[in-house]
Amino acid sequence: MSRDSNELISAYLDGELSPAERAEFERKLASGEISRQEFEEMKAMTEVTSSVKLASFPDEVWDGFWSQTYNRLERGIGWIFLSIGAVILCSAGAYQFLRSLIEDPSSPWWIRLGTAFVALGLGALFVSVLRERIFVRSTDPYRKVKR
Amino acid sequence: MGSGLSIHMNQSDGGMVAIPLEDLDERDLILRCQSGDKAAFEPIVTRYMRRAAAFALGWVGNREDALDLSQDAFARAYKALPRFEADRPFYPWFHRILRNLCINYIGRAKYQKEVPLEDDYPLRGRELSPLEHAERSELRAAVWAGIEQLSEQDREILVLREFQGLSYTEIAESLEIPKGTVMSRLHNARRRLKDKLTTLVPEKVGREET
Repeated sequence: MSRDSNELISAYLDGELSPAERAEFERKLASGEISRQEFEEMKAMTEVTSSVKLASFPDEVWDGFWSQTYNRLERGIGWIFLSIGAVILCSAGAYQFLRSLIEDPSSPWWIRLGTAFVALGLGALFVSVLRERIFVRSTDPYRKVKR
Repeated sequence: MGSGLSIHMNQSDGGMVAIPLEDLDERDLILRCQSGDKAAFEPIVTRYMRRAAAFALGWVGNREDALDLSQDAFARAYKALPRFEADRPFYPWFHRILRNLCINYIGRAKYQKEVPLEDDYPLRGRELSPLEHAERSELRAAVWAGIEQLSEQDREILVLREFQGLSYTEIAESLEIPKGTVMSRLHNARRRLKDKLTTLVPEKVGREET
């Protein structure tokens, strides 16, 4: 049986053939050009799958669907603002804390030195990660793929 | 959440008329969304929410997560709308977002697995016997197990055809593939499902003696 004939079995069972194509299919089936056994097996299979359906959703679900989706849209914008604000505040707080610690003459010199190294290390790591992200973004072959 | 009306100039007298958002075509709604009008997204969501939730259910297997994923997909689609070309049909583009979310979801180790299938055949007003109930339950579980074992591509096209009842033309539009490819993919997916079911429920789809 040719590949096209195989595919026609599904299309026939799904009612996707035109009247002329149906007649041609039935002629080929009767003459044995299309395997009767393959046809019967596929028919039995589609009878099984068509005897079940996806569980339905309660009607009240649809009443709240848009409002819940809308809440997600609002929440998304809220998270963006919250994240930006948190980054600004945390950065400012960390800067003030480090500055006061390093400039405080009462702190032992080794605490000030250690703190300065931690700050420099974090800064270097941040710049490194940022540079990598920018590089990946500019060279990613899938960047123009619409998702 | 917005007025639900769109103000347009009347072509005949030049006056302004208010048109309900749901009467606008998809392109106009998307253009309004792209200019920041969230209310214009409501008719689009309402138009496709059942289809989206049913598709997600066919992947993830439980209603709660299916609703969650479909709402998440709409929210992501809205955020991505500025990059969307309004002249293109919305659903095929949205379908890919939803599909990717579903694939990521089922890739996780833990999620609530159920058999999201019901019987869909006429009972002719009679009650099923306990044995028939058990057989139907076993069959539903077998069909779902067979579908879960298929590749993403096979599973997607079977859900669209067998459980959402889309025509070949509608599937072709959703997946942005030619109708002939739908025919071939669907047939191959069915053959592979038949092979799975032949193992799981041989008495239903087993080979006939010739």
